[in-house]
Amino acid sequence: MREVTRKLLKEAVFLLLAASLLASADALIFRPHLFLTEEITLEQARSLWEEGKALFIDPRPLFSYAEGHIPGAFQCSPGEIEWRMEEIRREVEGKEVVICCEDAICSQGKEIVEFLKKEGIKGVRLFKGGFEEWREAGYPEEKGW
Amino acid sequence: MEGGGLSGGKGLVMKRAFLFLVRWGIGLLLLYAGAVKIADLSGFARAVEAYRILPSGLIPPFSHLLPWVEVLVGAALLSGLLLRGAALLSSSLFLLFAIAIGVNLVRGAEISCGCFTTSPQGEELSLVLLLRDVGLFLLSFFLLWEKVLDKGRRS
Repeated sequence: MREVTRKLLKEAVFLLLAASLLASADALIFRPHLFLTEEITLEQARSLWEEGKALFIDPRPLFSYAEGHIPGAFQCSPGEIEWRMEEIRREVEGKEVVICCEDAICSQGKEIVEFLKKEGIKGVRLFKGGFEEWREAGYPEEKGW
Repeated sequence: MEGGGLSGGKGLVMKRAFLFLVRWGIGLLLLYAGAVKIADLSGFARAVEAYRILPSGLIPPFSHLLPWVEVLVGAALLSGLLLRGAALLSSSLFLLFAIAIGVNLVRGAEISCGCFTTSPQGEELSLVLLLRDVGLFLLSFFLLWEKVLDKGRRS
C-alpha cells in the first residue's frame, strides 16, 4: 500500500512539474509582456508627471475615466489602441510611456503594453497602483473627458 | 454456480465500461476547460480575482498554472498515462473548485464561475453548479479508488 501511495504521489508531482514547465514556457515565449515589463512606484509616477516627461495611458472604460483620472492622462482601452496609434505616436513624441493598471491583475494595462511594444514604442512602463493608488495618496486629479 | 460466474463477469465488464466512460468524460472536460482558459488568460485571471480567495500577488501565477494542470491531467486521463497521478489531481482540482464555489455561495457573491468560459457573463455560481462539482469530485475519487487504493489494498 505504501508503495502504491508513493507511486501515486510521484506521478502527481511529475504532472504538476510538467504543467509548471509548460506554463513558464508559454509565458516566456508567447506572453513575455506579462512578466518582463518594468514597473514604477507611485513616487516615480508622481515625479514623471510633475516633470511632464511621460504620457500616462489610462485603459479603464470612459465612464471610470470621467469620474477621475491623473491630469493629462490619455484614455484608451485595449480595444481602441489599434486605431488610435497615430494619435498616440504624436502624443508620445520625446516622452516615456506609463500605463496605469486598472486593477491588481492589470490585464488591460498589460495588453496595451504588449501592443505598444509590438509597434516599436520604447520605454513603456507599468504603474501598478494605477489611479486608485494615485487618488488614495491625495494627488491632483481631473474629472470629465 | 455457472450463472453466478456469468453475472459476475458481466458486472466486471459493466464496471470497466463505466470506469472508461468516467475517465474519458472527465479527461475531455478538463482538456476543454484548460484550453478555453489558456486562450484567454487575462479573462481567467479576472474570474479568479472575482472569487476573492487568493491574495492579489498570487492571482497571476495561479491563473497561469491552473489551465496547464487541467490540460495535462485531461490528456493523462484520456491517454491512460500517469493515470493514478492524474486521478489524484483531478479529485483535488474538483474538491478545490467545490470549496471555492461553496465559500462564495455562502458570501452571496454573484459572480461568473469561470469554469468553461472566461466571460464575466458566463455561468453564474449556483447550488446546481456546486452539486455538479461535487459530483465530478466523487467520480474522480471513484476512479482514484478503483485504480489505486483498491489495487494497493488487494496487494
